[in-house]
Amino acid sequence: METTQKHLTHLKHKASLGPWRLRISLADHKLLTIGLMMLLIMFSVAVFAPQIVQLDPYEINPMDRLTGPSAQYWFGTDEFGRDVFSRSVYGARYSFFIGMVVAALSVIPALIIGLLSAYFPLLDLILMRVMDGLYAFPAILLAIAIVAIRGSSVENLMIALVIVYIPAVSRVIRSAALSVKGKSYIKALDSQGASAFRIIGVHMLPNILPTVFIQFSYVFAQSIMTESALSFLGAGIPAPMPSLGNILFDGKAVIYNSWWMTVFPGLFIVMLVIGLNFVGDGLSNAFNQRHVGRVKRVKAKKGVV
Amino acid sequence: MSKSLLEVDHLSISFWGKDRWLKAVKDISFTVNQGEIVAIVGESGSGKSVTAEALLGLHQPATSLIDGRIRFNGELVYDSKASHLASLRGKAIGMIFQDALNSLNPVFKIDKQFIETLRQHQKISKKAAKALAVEALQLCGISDPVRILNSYPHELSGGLQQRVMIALAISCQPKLLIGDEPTTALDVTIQYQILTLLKDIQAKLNTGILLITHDFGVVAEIATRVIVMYAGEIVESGPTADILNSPRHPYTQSLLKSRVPKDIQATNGKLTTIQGSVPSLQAMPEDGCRFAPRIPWLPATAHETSPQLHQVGGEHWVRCRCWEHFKFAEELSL
Amino acid sequence: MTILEVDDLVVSYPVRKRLFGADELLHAVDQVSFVVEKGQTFGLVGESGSGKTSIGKAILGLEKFQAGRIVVNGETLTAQNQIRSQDYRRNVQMIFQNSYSSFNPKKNILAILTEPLKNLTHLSLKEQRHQALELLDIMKLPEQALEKYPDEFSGGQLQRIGVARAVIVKPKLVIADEPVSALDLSVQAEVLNYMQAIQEAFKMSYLFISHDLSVVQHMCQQMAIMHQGRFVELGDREAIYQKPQHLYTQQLIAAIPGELSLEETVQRQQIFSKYQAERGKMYDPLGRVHNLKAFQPNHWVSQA
Repeated sequence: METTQKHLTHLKHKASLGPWRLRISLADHKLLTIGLMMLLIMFSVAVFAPQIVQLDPYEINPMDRLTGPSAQYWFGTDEFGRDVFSRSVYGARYSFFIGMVVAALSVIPALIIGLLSAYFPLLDLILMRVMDGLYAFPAILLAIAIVAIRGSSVENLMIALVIVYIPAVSRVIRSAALSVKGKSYIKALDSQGASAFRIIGVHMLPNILPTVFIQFSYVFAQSIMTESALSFLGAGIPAPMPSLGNILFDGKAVIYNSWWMTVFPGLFIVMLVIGLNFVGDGLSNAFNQRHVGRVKRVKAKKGVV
Repeated sequence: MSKSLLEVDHLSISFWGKDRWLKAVKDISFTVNQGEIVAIVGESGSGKSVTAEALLGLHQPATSLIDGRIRFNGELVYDSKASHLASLRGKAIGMIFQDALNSLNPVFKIDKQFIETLRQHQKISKKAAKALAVEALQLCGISDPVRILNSYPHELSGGLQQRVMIALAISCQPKLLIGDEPTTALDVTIQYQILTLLKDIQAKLNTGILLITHDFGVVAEIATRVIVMYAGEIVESGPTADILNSPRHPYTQSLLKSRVPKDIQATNGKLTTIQGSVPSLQAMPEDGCRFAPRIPWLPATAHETSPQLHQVGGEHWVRCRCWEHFKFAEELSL
Repeated sequence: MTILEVDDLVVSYPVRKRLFGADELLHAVDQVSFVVEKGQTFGLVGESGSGKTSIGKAILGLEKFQAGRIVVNGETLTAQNQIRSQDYRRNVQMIFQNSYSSFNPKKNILAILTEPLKNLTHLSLKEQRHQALELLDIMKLPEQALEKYPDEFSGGQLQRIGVARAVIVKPKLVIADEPVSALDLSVQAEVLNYMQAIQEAFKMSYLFISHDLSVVQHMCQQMAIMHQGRFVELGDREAIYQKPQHLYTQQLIAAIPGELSLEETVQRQQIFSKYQAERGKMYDPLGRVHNLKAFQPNHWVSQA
């Protein structure tokens, strides 16, 4: 009788983060792995920008304007003769920075708001109505409005984005927290004497961490794209600072002749955003798979309720 | 002479566990005849549910490996080359699960579920299907089938849901019914009614029933024959009376003894338990008596190195020879 | 000494809210009274929907009750005042039917076991760990279990951990809600033995809630049979199990599956026929089960 043997790829790496129990084996999650690799590449580019870049991103060389990729100018030059490679690398650096800061400054308050709303019904009423109000603003329009009022700068851009993302993220966290709150083990904690804040901080929080991480990666991706869009519209990072978006903006006029101003920064944006999305989706899949085996077994032995 | 409905021949079921195949069921063989109720008794880790699922063709070929042969009504329906199990499901083999509510689609009325199921297996009109449904429901003791057909699953009580599920299963007139713990989640009075119903079906339709259970009470009520499984193997099998009154295998004996006694005893009477625990799938020993570690006071020589099934009565079979020397720990005042 | 006293307890849920007039209520628990002594095990038997779980939840505080009194170790709760003191919380703990779902999956066993200690006592971390180890020892679980997580254990082990967590604060009353229903036969025996061992060691009382009469009569000295939110019979186990007076109790016992002699089978059929014929008599004109009336010392039966 024939038997077929399955040959699985050898387990590459098992990530384990102590008390938070986020053990996932990277070999089983290709999406996550690819995403993380893409992010790692972009992260290195962003962090090691000063080391990688030889030419000054601000230096104008009118003689060399709009030349294609060459040994000297790896990604070619823009309309002022500035090296597109060094501008792209620094653009990536700023994008990365903005993405991280906006994600952090959005997710942390959203986490607090989401948890408190889920646990205290009265607070929920008030907080969610406020969030609803803010939620109504589309990110780009709000950003343009703030930039118009306060002037164009990186800080104002980040303020606008944070205002827009906190409501959206707090909604998602609130729903995750609500579903955890309904679980039996949370209900059982009252009889074990736990105070409200202990239940929220010590018991509920670890169970919504997957959601938090995923939201972080999505906000990160969204803010990069929004920043690029805004810079493309001329309302983002002010010239002459390079940003992936404003290189695209400048490149739009000369797109037919000077493809390198569009393609290379575009590629960076794609790497960043796809990497982040893969990580977000990959994490989502990974965390959903974990408890399946256990749940199935318990269900099979259920007695009379 | 009752016809053999289901013949399971040297069935082994393995699952892929990251780097090797793990054998959940090792080389089991049994038959279910027409008009018989055969009960497979075991605890978690015995492989009983896995067996039932395999018979219904529910395992994914990608992650499971099933060796052996299965014959239905004399025809070969499963071997290493081909599997026709899925086509038998519903039509020739009906199934009843533990949780009726999960098997019934909550957004459709009961009549629609019957019509769909019946028309999947035969070419009949909706009207004819409905008539068959009414018949099936009546057979299951439902006095107002029309009202039930017009209801949604959640509008019915647990017992009624279970009856509807059984009615659905028998509406296609299967020759064999497979039930996986169908009464475990039910109240005791409803359980009694469902068990009586199953006996009725056995008598009226001459259906063969394969019942998976962990409750010896259920076994005593309706089973013709019993198969006891432990850690993926059959350790004892025989007519119900034999198994309940003269159990031989140490596992069967221990299991029967660990039940709560029927008569009131002095307060603080301790129940008999079995030392150790069922080996996990990963830690399953290849050879030797699998129950040996749980009766450590028996010397290794009492067990066979490769335990086989031995006939100890007319149709009473026991695995290994350890039963010949077996005594409970307290009898040896340990 | 009385540990628990329940007086005319009512737990109800609105099933239909009305715009004008009172909401239509479903009484899950409809004026129930009983008493549990120190060191005693009291069994609450009933089918699903009988209200037995609601009683346990109301005593613990997981549900609010609408009328009646609950007195635990001298502390009284009324429908108007349901705020429980720390003492109360320490005195009443619960073992759940499915321990796994009552454990935070992100916490290890040490954290799960010491949670009540952290909140209800002032023990140091070292003392907490010591208590946890002591209980693991009684439950015959290895020390390494402390660092493991709930999904690494079998059903039986989880129930044992659930029992350990319930008793770690040395409560006076433990409410066990179907503690062994979901377990294999041999594992059920183990957990029941452990529960008895704990009771002997710590002298606590159990309120044992179950649908399984056989298990209840094994564990409990005193029991009550519930139906539609009320008691139909109340008394010690010999009275109820060997001389059941109420029709509902009789048919409940008759329905227990098992090997029956010819005589027993005949008796069973008689009881079922009688039940079908006379079940209407169990209820008063309002549809409620009749009140309990004294039948014999320590044996009450619901009668017209």
